[in-house]
Amino acid sequence: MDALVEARDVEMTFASGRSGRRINIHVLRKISFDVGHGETLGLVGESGSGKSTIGRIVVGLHEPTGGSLKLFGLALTGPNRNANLATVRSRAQFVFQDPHAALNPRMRTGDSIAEPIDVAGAHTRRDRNDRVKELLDLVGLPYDAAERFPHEFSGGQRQRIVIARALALEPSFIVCDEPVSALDVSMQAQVVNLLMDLQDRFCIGYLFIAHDLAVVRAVSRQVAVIYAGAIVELAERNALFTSPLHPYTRALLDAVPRPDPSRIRNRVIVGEVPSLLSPPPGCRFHGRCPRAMSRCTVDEPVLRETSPGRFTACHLY
Amino acid sequence: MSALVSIDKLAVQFRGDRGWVSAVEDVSFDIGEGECVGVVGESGSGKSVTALSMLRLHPRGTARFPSGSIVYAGLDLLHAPERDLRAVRGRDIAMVFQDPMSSLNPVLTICDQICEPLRLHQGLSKAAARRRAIELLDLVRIADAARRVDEYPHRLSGGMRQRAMIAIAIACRPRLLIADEPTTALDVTIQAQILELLRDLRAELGMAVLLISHDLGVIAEFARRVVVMYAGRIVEDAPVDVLFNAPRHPYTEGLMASMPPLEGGADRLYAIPGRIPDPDEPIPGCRFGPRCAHLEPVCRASAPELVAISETHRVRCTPRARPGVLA
Repeated sequence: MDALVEARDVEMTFASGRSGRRINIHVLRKISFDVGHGETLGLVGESGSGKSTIGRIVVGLHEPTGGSLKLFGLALTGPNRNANLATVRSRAQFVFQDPHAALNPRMRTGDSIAEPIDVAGAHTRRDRNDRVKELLDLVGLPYDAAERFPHEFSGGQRQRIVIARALALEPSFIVCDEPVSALDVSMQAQVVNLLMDLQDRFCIGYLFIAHDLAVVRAVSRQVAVIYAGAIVELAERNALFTSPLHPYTRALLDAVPRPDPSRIRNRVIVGEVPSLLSPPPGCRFHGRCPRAMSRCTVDEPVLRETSPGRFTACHLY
Repeated sequence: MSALVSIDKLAVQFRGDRGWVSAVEDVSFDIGEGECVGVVGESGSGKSVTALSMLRLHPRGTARFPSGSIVYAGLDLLHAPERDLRAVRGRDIAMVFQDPMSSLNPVLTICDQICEPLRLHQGLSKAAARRRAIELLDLVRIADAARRVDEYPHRLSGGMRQRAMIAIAIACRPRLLIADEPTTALDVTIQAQILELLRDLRAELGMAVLLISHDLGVIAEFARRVVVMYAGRIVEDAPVDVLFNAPRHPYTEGLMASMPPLEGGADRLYAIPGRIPDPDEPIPGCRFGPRCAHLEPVCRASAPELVAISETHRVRCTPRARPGVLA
C-alpha cells in the first residue's frame, strides 16, 4: 500500500525583498519523510525552523521549489500538480493553531462546520444538517452548538469545532499545525485524546506539527526533529525520546522543564537559531553544538539511516 | 523570613456588560525578602490579575478592589495615591511581561528604554545612565552590549528582547521582580537560557521573584514555594517539593496528571473533565466541584476555606483539609 504522503528531497525557497534587491531564502532543504495510513508523524522544531511550511506544502498551499512530493500516490510536483491537487484536496485537511482566528466570528458554528460540505456540493439540506449533528457528536459538543457563534465557546471547544470542520469530508489525512499550543493544560489533554480517538476510529493519518516535545511524544508513532530548515533526526517515537542521537535533539530534550523540583538540569545550550538569510557554512547547528568538530564547520552532514529505521544528520554517527 | 510584600484577602472585580465581575477573591499570601514564589494556574485563574494589582497596572476605570490590601514597606499599594505608587513601580517592584515585542517601545532604542528608569528614579545623567545601560546588557548576557544598546527592538531576536526587558526591570535593583509568563513566547532552548539567567540574577542581586506561569515544569525548576490558583482563588500553597510530591488539592493533582510525560508509558493522557468556569458563572460551593472526581455533599453545601494543614501548606478543599486525610 502506498504511503499517504511521500516527500523526497523537498526544497522550498521564498523570494523576499523588493525587485532589484531580491533575495532568495532557502527555508527547506532536502526534506524527506513518509506518513502511512492511520499513522502519525510528529514534527518538532523551534520557531523559524520551517515546520509550518512543510505542513502547508503537504496540503498543496505552497508548491515546493524542488524535490518530489506525492499525496495519496499522486504527484503534487511536476506538470500534473493542479489536476492531481483537485482530486486529492478534499481528502487532506488542516487544523490550525489558533481556533479564534480559524473560525469566522459572524458565522454560526453549524455553517462553519458545513462549509466544506457546501463547497463540495451534492448534499441535500437534510443530509447536511444530519451530518453537522453527527460531526458535533464526534467531537463531543452538544447539538445546539450548531446555532451558536464562535465567541460563545471556550478555546478548547472552538478547537473541537475546527476539528469537526476538518472531519466534514471524511479526510484520510490531516495536518495539525500546533493544534493544542493555544490551549490550557487541562484542555490540551482533552483535545489530544480526541485526535487520537478519531484516528483509531477512522484510520486518519496525521502530520502533527508542534514545538512541545511532550505533546508530540503523546501522539506520534514517528518523530522528525527539524532545525533551520532540515530534518536532523527522524526515528520511531520511543527510540528518539529514550536515546536521542543528534546533539540538537538532546539539547531540546534537556531544555524542557520537568515537573520535578529535584531534577538537576544539564547545561543549557548557548546561542540562538541561525538566520536563514545568512546560514552558517557546514552543519547549521555547529555554532551551538557542544560536540562540534572542525569538520562540522565546513561539511554539511546529510540525513542517513544510521541504524534500521533511524535517520540522523550528524558527523558523529 | 520577614514578609517583603504581604497580600491580604485581595479581591479584584472588573467592569463587565452586566455589572462588576469578580476575577480574584480571597487571595492572601506573603512574599519574603529574597524569596522565590511561583504562581501557577490556567487562563482565567486570576494569576496575572493578582500580579497586576500589586502595581495597579489595570487599565484605568476598569478594575476595583472591594476588599483586601497589598502592603509593601508600610504602604498599601491598592489604595496609595498614584504619586507614591510611581515611586515604587520600576524601582522597588519591577515587572517583566510575557510578550517582549509588545512591551518594548518600537520607536525607542534599547538604550532609551533602559535609561528611563535610571534617570527617573536614580537621577543619573545621560552619560552615566548610558554607561549603566551597557553594564546591564552585559549582566543579562547580551553579547556586544556596547553596540546592541543603540539598536531598536525589531533588530533583536525574541530571546534578546526578553533579555533587554529583564535589563530594564533590574536597572534600579528592585527588591521584588514580578515575571509574568516570561518565557511563554520563547522556544524551549531560549526558555531554558532565560530561566537560567533569572536564577543567576536572583542570586546575584538578592531580590525576591514572583514567577507566574501556566507551565508546571517552569515552576518546578524555578520556585521555592508555589501558589496554585483556580477560578480566581488560591486552591493550594506549599513548598515546591511538597507540592510536587504530595499535592493535596484534586485540581493540583489533575493539573499534574494532565501534563503529557516525557518518559515512561504514554497512551491516553489524563484529562480533567469539563472546562474552566466563567468568572460570573454561579457555582454553589467549591468552584472546582463540577470537575472534581472526589466531590462530596459538603463541597456543594459551602465554599471551602483556605486551611493551613501544616505550617507551610495551605489547601482550599474541605474533604482534603480534614486532619489525618492522606497524611
